[in-house]
Amino acid sequence: MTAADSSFVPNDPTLAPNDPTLAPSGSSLAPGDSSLGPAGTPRPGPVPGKAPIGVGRALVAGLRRNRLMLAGLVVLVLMVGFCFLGPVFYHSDQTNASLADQTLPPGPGHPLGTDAVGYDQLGRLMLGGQSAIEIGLGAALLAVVLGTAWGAVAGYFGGAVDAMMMRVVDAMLAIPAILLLLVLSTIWHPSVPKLIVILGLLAWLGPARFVRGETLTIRVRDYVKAARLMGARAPRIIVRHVLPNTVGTIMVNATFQVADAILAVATLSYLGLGLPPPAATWGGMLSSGLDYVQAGYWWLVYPPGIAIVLVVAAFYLIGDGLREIFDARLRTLR
Amino acid sequence: MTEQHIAARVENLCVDVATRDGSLRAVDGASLTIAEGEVFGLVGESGCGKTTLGMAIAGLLPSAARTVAGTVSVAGRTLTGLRERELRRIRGDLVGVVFQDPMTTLNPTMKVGRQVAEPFRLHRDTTARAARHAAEQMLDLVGLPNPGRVLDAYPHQLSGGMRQRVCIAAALICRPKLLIADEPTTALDVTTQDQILRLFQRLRAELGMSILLVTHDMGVIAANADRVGVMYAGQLAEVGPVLEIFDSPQHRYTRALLESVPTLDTDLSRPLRTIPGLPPRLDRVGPGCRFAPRCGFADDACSAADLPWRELSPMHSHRCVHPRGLSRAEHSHG
Amino acid sequence: MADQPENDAGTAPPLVSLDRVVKEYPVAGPMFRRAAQRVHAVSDVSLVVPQGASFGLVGESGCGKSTLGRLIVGLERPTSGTIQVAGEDTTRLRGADRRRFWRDVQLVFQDPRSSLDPRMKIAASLGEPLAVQREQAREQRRRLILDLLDEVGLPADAMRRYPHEMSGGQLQRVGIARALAVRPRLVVADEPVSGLDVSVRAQVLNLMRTLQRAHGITYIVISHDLTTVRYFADHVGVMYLGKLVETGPVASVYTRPAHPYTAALLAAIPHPDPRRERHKESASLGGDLPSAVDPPSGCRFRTRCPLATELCAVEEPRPRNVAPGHQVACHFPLPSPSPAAETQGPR
Repeated sequence: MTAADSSFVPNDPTLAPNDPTLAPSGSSLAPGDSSLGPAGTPRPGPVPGKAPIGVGRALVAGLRRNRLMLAGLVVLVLMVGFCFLGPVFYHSDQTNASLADQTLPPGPGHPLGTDAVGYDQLGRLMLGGQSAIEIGLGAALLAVVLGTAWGAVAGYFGGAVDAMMMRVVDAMLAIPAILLLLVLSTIWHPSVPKLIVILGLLAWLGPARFVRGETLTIRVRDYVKAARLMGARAPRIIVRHVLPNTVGTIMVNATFQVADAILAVATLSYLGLGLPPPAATWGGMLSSGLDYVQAGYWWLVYPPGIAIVLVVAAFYLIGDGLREIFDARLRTLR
Repeated sequence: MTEQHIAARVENLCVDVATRDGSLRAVDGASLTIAEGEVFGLVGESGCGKTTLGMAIAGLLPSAARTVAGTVSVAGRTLTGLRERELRRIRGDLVGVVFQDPMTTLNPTMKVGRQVAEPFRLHRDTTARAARHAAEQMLDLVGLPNPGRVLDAYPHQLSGGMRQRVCIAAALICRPKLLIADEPTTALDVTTQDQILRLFQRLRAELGMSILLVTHDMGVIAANADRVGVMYAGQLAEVGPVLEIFDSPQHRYTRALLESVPTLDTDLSRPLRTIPGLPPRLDRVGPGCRFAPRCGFADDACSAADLPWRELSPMHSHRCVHPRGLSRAEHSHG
Repeated sequence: MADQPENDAGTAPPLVSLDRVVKEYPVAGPMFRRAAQRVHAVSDVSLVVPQGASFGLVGESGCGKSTLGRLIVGLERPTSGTIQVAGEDTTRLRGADRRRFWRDVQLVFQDPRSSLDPRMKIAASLGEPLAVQREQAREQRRRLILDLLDEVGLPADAMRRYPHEMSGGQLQRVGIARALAVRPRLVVADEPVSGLDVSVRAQVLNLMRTLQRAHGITYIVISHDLTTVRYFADHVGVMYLGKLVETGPVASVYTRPAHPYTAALLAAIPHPDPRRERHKESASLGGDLPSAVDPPSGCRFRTRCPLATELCAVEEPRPRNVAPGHQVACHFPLPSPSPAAETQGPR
């Protein structure tokens, strides 16, 4: 029976015999005929080493298995330390241009050389990283909070509410983001908070769709019906039942959002539409460095480029690892 | 029972299944023979290993499972130790398999006719036309009205009962010696179940094959099996002719199982008899009788490392230390 | 019924009464086109369940029994007809009134694993109905949870467990405890033991029966399994393709089924008795369930009924009494094998 062969999936419970998570061991020695009450109730023993339900323990276990994710985390910690703690130990003047020190190659006093207006490259790299990470985290947070709320409400209520709310999302998705970014940042005078708001308002559409999709599947679960039958109102159900069960999706998505926001802000700065000088940005450093690349001033191009790649890749590796962890957890939870 | 009249023989079969926490012995030392033309019922609760044993006989163990000891032979050919390529030649030809859920067994994108004919085309050197003709004959044999039209239907156009008939047709098109039916009626309604079980009886008589009927339902066993094997926690507990199993079950588990099934005659004034506790986890079983922790008759003798098979008659044996024995009163009125 | 104080049910006022309840769903069609076809999930069902009774609703998949259950607890609203629970028309309830009504009505689900939030400890799941109704202080709530666990036969340390750490039978006990937490007047149990193993099933059935007697809660048990319903209910309703075809006391319906469908259903149950099974002479019910989108005219069972005549295709049979409290919607009800047999209870 080949049709059967080809579609034979070992989804049969008997093939995963006596799943330890489902059948706690230990049972009472009550006589065969007793039927009711605690006598017939087995005392479930602790379940050892099995799918820790806590997010924290799952993360630790996941990190131990997934070396790439660990690498991403290490790189991220190093980069954050470099950008935010670096200036404490390494002092450089990033406000007054020193035309006497233009485009010095790496050497004593300036480990990464200086740029076209005499700013120290290493110090500038640290400052640029600060704004990039601040904006990335801020925009991702805003996008995820907004998107989660929007998606959960749309998904939970469904019907006309859902249709209307998701049409808004679709309409906004139809606007090319980069175009909108360009327009908005020429109208507004960019600052860190403003860039967070602009990028966040552009990026919440993704999480909104993901969370709405998850919510649609969760709201038909029996435990949501049970909560409704207890008389629980919608906000309680969304906060207590829907959101905790989408936390995996949300966290994975948030991580990717940070990476995307850092890339977006680098793009803007590269185009000269990011934070205005003298503020340091990786994108800005890259773009001004490119003017001199023909002259062999490699230290103006590589450091900001590598920094962008490292931070973005770190967030992607972490996001991938998180997805793996949560997918595995979902399998054991459902 | 001479060797020629044996459809399948299992000797001391042990199957390990790999799980996330190491491997479990899903089937532990199972031995049984299925005579030609016999319906052998394998009964037990979920997780007892009955499906794994059935799949081992079908040569369809999932990749996580591994035969670690013992032999399985069907129609005189040993299956254990064969390579996948050789197993494929036997599956669908010597052994047919019917699964619980016909909807997931059938490919939704393929017409019924091709799916029924496929094993025939794989195992017989034949033309498409001949295979289609054979398929039509099979559909007629399993009692589908209008077999010519069913050939060109898609699975979703058929009812659940019809789909299961299609699966049976595909399993039997090569006229296997042995049909393994794993919970074939569990997903069906009672009236449909009744139709399908009657179909099995008719096909057994007409085609002269043996059937291994794997089920949790004592009623299905009573109505269809000639001999019965009762499984508990990976081991066979009792094997015997159906009348003896129901009239004078020897193993305490068999008896408890029979008594806990509510029937249309159950005395309603008393609570149902129950088996306290839960089946043990297979990664936590020690030596001795695995039912002992839930058994009202258990004592020290039950924890002996090696429980021998005790023969009540040449066809009826069990591994209970405190068998119920044959009381004549019970025997006569059964 | 051998064991249920039948006269109680007879004189008790109705707790649930359904009057000509209809539930239809539009068939999902292409967007922007009005779906002309409808699935007739529940058609014209009238039913009374007295206070303190235990009513069983049986039928095969697709007969509308689960839809009827969801209508009774108010998770869905009927297309037409009225549903009264404790004298209140539940189809009109909105907002706060509806939430107050839901305190009196609880549902026990088929799959206990999916009816409990996997991220909540058992204590939180059991405490939720209490927290929602905001009646007790925290310490009092804890005591109530412990009492509930004790009542359903679970150890106190189950409070600190997550659902995935427990077995199906234990989880169904939690599900039952949660339903009882708000001391409802009506509990609707949709296939409460179908997902459980045989040996555990009996434990849960016994528990439910004991609790019903202890609290006098009215139960509606929905099941495809006639033996379960027989064990648990004192009255039974048999559904076929959205219609209630037979209702009556369990003792009467099970021993003297009047509708050919009920008889076929009873005959199809494989009995765990090989001698009896092997000499079963009745033929099995032929054919398949017709589509609920386009149900047969007249009597919906006629396409599979061995007794059907032209009358059955033309005229829909009205319910008629065949014994006290025992009604059947059939033009040719099966004769009672022994009319003098005991018939208890006026309903």
